[in-house]
Amino acid sequence: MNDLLLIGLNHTTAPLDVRERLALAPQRAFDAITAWQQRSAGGNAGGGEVVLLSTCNRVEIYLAGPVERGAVVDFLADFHATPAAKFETHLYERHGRAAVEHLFAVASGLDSMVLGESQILGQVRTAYETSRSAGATGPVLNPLFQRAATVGKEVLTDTGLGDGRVSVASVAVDYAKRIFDTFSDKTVLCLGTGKMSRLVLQGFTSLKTGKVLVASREQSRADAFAAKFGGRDFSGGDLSIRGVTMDDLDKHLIAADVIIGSTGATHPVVTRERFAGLLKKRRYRPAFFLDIAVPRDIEPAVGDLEGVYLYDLDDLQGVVSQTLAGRTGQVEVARGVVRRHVDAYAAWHRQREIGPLIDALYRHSGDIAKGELDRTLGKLDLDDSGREQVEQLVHRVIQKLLHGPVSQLKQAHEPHNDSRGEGQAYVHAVEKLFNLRPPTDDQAPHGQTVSDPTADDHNTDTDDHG
Amino acid sequence: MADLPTIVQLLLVAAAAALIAAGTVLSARGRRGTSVFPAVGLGLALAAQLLHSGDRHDWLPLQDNFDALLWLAILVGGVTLYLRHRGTVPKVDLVTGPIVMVLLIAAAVFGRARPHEYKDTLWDWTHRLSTYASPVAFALAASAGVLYLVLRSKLRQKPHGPPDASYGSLERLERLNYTAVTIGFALLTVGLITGVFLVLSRDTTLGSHWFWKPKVLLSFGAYAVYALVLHSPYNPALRGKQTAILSIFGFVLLLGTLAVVQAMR
Repeated sequence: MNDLLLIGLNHTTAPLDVRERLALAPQRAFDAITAWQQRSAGGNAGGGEVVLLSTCNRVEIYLAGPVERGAVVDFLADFHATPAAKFETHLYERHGRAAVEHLFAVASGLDSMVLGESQILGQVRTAYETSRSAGATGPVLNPLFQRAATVGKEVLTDTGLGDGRVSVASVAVDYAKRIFDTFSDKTVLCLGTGKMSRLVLQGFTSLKTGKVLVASREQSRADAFAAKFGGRDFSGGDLSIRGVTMDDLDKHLIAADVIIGSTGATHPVVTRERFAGLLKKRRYRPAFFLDIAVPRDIEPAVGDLEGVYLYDLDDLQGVVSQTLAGRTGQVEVARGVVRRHVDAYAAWHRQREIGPLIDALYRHSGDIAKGELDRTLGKLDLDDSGREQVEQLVHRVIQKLLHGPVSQLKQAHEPHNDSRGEGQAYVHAVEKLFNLRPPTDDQAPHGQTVSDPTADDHNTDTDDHG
Repeated sequence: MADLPTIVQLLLVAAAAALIAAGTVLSARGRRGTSVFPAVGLGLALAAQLLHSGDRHDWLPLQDNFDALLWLAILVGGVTLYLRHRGTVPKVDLVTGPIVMVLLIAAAVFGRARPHEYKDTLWDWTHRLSTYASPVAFALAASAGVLYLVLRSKLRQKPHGPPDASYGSLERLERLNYTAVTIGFALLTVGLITGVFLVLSRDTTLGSHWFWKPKVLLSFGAYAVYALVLHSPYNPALRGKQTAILSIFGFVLLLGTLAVVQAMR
């Protein structure tokens, strides 16, 4: 685990313009990984395993192997054709257990700008898959990222960290879904062409809304706003969107099912008197008003009318704040889950480190026993049953002799055992005393090292060597 | 008497009611997999029904009140399970669950009654089947109505945020209500016409002033209420909350009819 290195920057350490310089789309990430591997093959830098996580809020490189920070910085500067001085001061660096803990926290949404957001888990998975497809992961990063995905999923589903909605648009869409069943036969009327209108409209167009009307005082402005959507909704389907003027507002209010108020008007655009007069023409269809304008576009008394469901910015932000407050209360629970998994991963990793040594110890003893058995049994005139009994006797003796040293070795590598030096001393002692050279990570069987870290490590089970 | 429920049948019905209650409580608490309890409960009710039919050596349904109320409970429960399984309105059991329980308890309490006076004619069977099937549809309509009012109230309680998806949407509940009322109304129409024909063509327990009997008045009252509900597309002022309230009121009248039918025995 000490070979694990993380170098990166995120929204807390780097401003947007720096993050933009280093951000990579998935295909570019693949190219970057390939470039890193080629660079390693050329002897320019590190090598080993690498995963590149790039989102709008972070760029992080996870590396396994003897890699120096300088090599990574040089690579990033070369690949992005950006002077290192532009970003180097914003980078953070984590090693070993700290890197593991950071990754697990990232996958859980604990390190996100919006606490508990679940999108990051998918991004971590994508980053890992991209590296895996480039052949850049191995015995260290495979189990690490597999575990990270498990941790992220557990935190987001088993704690309250991922509950609720955290944007005004998503809360509005949730309300709309409780009023209407289908949206393909509905009309959304957006009063105003501001940035907030666009954000909320994005949410509604993702519901495959039948028709969207964008109303502005000037037809050209409404048309320009409508054109930005390009006749396509955000799932790629056709979107009927049209710019209209406020002159025919009553007509549009009659046609609309969802009305978004987002103008810069200083007085309410839709008053109770105005809308009450339209109810009959609307045939008393339910109307969902979303008032995100300040000052408000919809008179609050409109919400008292039967069949009208009116929510203003305070209502929606109140829900968002509740969600975030609820999530904050879950942070410690989530961190507890992360810590538990870091401990489990560290334990598994330590066991994995000594697994090959224990293997070698048993193999060594087995080889000696086999040689002696063959020699002795050749001199004795025993039937099959007798031979079997002698073989079992020898195996039992080996088991009992090695049980103590192996237990001590494992104990010294337990995560709660702080005396890491003691563990290392035991390893050296066993290697020296028995003249063992355990295989390194590189020589270890691939399938063994990428297996689920939660699984018991059979290499350390003495029964398997009996 | 062989046509009365036995202790075993009553115990099965009691166990069914308990399981339906457990399923409803767990569902209200948002637990998963709560359909298992009502499903087993309905299985037990069906077993009681089969034992009852076997004991009286008559497998035709709706021969006595125990039989009829049990069928109503099983049908309402079955439709509930279907709607939950489809995910149409997962919380529908919060209303239909208690209705099923009431029907099961009513079957156990009122079940010790003499067989119906119906004859095996086409008119009798049509009347019986339609009048007993329509409450199933109306129970569903009333449930949709109750959920509509609950969801509407939750949507107006803004600080609590959007209600969870298991309520469905107002539009879906309104559609479910209208569809159920349409089916129930058609069945009730057939039931009333055949009922009037029967009462005019032979002597019944209703006597000569049959139209003023509570059973008939309540039935026609419910009929009028559901006619109003069906009128809502043509008179939109009735839609939404009004439709929901009318559907609940109509079902209450129908329950009154059922209670009067039991009291007459």
